[in-house]
Amino acid sequence: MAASPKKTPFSVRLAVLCLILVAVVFFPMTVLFCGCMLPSFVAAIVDRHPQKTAGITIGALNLAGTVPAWLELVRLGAGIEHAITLLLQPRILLMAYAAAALGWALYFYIPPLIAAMLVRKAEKRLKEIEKRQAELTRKFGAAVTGAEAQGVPGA
Amino acid sequence: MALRDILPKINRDYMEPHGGGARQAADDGYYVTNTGGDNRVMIGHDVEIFPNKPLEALASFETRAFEARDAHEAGPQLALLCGRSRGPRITAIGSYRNVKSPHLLKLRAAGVVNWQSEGRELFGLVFDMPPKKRLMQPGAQKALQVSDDRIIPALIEPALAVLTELHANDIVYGAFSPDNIFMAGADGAEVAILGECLTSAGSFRLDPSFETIERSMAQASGRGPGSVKTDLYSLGICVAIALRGFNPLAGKTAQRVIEDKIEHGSYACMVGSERLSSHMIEFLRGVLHDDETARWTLDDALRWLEGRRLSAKQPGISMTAARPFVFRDRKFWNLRSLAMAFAAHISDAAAVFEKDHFDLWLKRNFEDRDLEDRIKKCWEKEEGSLRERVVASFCMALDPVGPVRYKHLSIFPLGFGTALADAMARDEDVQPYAEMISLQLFSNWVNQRFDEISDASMLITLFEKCRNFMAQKMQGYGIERAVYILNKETVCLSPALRDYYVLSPGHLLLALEGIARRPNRPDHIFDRHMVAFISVREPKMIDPHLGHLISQDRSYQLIGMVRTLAAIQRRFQIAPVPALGNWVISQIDPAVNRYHDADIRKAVKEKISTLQDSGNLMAILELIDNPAWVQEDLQRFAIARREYALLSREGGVLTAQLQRKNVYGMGTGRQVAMLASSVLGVIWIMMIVFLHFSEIW
Repeated sequence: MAASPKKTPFSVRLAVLCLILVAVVFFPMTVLFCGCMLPSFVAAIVDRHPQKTAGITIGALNLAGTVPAWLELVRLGAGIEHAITLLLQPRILLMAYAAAALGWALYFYIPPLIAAMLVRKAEKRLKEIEKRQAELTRKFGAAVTGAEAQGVPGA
Repeated sequence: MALRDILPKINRDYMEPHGGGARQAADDGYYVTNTGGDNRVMIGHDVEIFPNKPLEALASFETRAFEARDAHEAGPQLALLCGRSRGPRITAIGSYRNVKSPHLLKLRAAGVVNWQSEGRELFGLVFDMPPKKRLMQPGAQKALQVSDDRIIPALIEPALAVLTELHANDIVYGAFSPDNIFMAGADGAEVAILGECLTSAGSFRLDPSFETIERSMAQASGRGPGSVKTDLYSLGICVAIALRGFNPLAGKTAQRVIEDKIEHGSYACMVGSERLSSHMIEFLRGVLHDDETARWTLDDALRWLEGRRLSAKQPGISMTAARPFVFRDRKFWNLRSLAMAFAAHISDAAAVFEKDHFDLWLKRNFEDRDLEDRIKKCWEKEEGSLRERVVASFCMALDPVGPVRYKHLSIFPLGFGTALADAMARDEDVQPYAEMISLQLFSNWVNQRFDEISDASMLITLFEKCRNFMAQKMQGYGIERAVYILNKETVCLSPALRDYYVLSPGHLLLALEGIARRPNRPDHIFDRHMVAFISVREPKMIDPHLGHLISQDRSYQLIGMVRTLAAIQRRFQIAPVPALGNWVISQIDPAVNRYHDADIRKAVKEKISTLQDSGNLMAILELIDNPAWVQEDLQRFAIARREYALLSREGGVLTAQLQRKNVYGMGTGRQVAMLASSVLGVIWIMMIVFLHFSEIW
C-alpha cells in the first residue's frame, strides 16, 4: 500500500497564503526583492546539506544588501515602474549581489575553520582519556579494564 | 583429653646459627632447653644424654639406647630414643609415671631431643638403668630357669602387681617378652623388673609366639592395643619359658608357631611334656587358654595368687574337619589355618571359591549354622567383586576372630591406625590401606561379631567417617586425615618433617622455623599432612581457614596459611619465628597483589619489608588481611572501573568521529556561519535604516 502524501500543516498553509496575499498587495516590493535576492533563492535550492543553512547564511546578508533599494523604492512611491527602474540600476544589483557574495564567503570559509578547531579539541581530549586510562591501569592493573578477572589485580 | 595436656614436658633444643640463645615456646606444656651451644643433648635442664656412650645390649627393635645422667640422681641411666615409626606411646607417658611399682622400670624424663649427629629430632625416654640380668638375653637359646617354687615371687607376683597398677591407669602393657624382663637380686633370689612399654605401640615389639593365636596372625603393627587378657597370655608364655629354661617355639617360623598353636593349643605347645605342679598348671591353663572368653582375667589371676582354687580350664576345642581340604598340595583340617593359607595365596584361593568342591567340603565337614550363614552372605555380597575383596571376605567368614586380611596386609580394626601410621612413617605404599577402608572391610568384620564387640557401633562409625574423609580430595582430608583420626598419638608424618618430631601444631611451627632456615626448603609451606594434622589435633586453629587454604586462588591460600600460622603462634605463645616469617614474606606477593590499588600494594610491601626478621606472623597477617583496607580498596577499584568504562565509551565516540575528519565539525561550522551571517545582516540593516531615517529628519 502506497504511503499517503504528507499533509502540510494548516499554520504553514495559512502563512503561505498570507505571504502570497502580502506579495500580491505589495507587488512592486515583491518584484524588487525577487530580483535582488536571487542569489539567496539559488543558494537555498542548491544546498544539499540536511541542515539547509546556506539559504539563511547568504540570505541574511543578501537582505541587508537589498534594504537600501527597498528604502529607495518606498521613497519613490513604491510603484511597479519604480521597482523595475531600480532593478535595472547596476548599483542596486551590485550592492545586493555583493552582500550575497559576502554571505557565500562566510558559508564557505567559516565551517572548515570551526571543524579544524573541533578536531584539534577532540584529539586533545582523546589524549587526555588515554593518559587517564593508562594511569588507572597502572594503579589498578588490567582488571580495571574489565577484560580480566578481578581476583588477580597485581599479577 | 588433648595430647598437649597429657604430654609431659616436651623438650627440644633450638639452636641459633651463632650458638646464641634458644627460642622458647612458653606456657603450653612444652619447654625448650637452652643448650648454650655446647652440643650437649639434654632433656629438660637436668637430664643429659651421652651420644658417645651407646648401650647396644639395651637397644631393641628400632629403639636406640644410650647412657644418660640426671643431675639429681646418682649413677647412670638408660636413654631410649625412638623415631617416627613403630608408634611410641606418648599419650601413655603420664599414666606410666603414675605406676609406683618397683617392678616396672621407672621413667625419669621424656621429651623431644635434637639428635645433632644425625641432624634430626628423636623422642627420648630416660629410665632407671635396668639390671644386667634378664629372663632371656636377646638372641640367646636358653632362658634363666626359675624353679617351680620360685616362679611366683620371682616373676608372677611382680608382674601381676605391675599389671594391676597399669590396668588401674588404663594402660595395656603389651611388652611381655623374656628379653624385656630384667631380673634383679642375687642368684637364686631374683625378682623381675619389667622393662618399659612406651617406645613402641602395644604388642608391636612382640614375636608372634608371645601373642594369642588370632593376634599373632596379624602383622606386628596391626594387632591393636590388646587387653589385660592378652598381657596375661604373654605373661603365661614367659612363665612357661622361665619354668622350662628355654622357648620351645624358638626357631620356628611365625606360620609354624600359629599352626602348632591351632593344632595343639597354646598350653600344650608351651608346656609340652614338662612336669609342673598342679598349681602352675592351673595358672598356665587359665592364662594360655586360646578362647578369649574362657581365658583368665586379672581378677582370676589375682585370686589364684591369693591361693584360691579356680575351676580348671579345659583347652578349647577348635572345629576340625573329618576329611582334609587340599589347597596347594597341603592338607588343611581346620578353617583358621585354611584362612591363613587363602590370604597368603589370593589367586589360588579365588580359583578355589569358583569351584563347588569347597562348598561341599564345608557343608560335609562343619555342621555350623553360623558358618553357613557367613559363607552364604559372602556369596550374595561379593558376587562380581575383585578377587582380593572376595578372598578377604571369605577369610573373615572362615575365621571371624582373625584379623582382616587384604592383599599382603593383616590387621585388626583397632590396630589399623598404628599400622597406617607406621607404613606412612616408612614411606610404604598406603594404597592397600586406603582400599581396606573404602571397601568397608573393617565394618564387615565388626558386623560379623557385632554382639561380641562392646564398642562395635563406635568402630563402624569411626571407619565410615574415615571413608567419607577419604572420598574428599581436598587438603586436610584424604588418607592423611584418616591416619590422625585413627591414631591419637602419631606425630605429623609429613615428608617435609622427616627430621622433626612434631607432636602438636606448636611443634609444627617450630619445625617449620627450622625448615625455613634450610637453603633447600620446599616451595610450599603447608602440605596435605600438615593441614590434616592441625585440623585433627587443633581444629580451631585451621578449620575456619580451610576454605581459604583449599582455594584455587593462590592469594587466598596464602592468607589461609598465614591465618593458621598466626593462630598457632598466638595459641601456643610461640616466640617470634624470623626464618618462617621471612619464608612467608618471600611467598607473600600473591596475597599483597590481592589489593587492586598499586599505591596500597606499594604501601603494604614497604610495611612488610620492615617486618623482615621480625618473625611476627600476626603483624604480617594484619598487613595482608586487613578488612578496612580490603574494603577501601574494593570501593576504589569499583569507582576506577566505572571511570575507565566511561572514558572508554567517550574515547570510542571521539575516535569514531575523528575517522570522518573531512566532515567532522562542518555542520557546526555551517551553523556558526549562519549565525554570524544573521548577526552581521541584522547589524547592517539596523545601520542602513538608522542612516536613512537620520537623513530624512
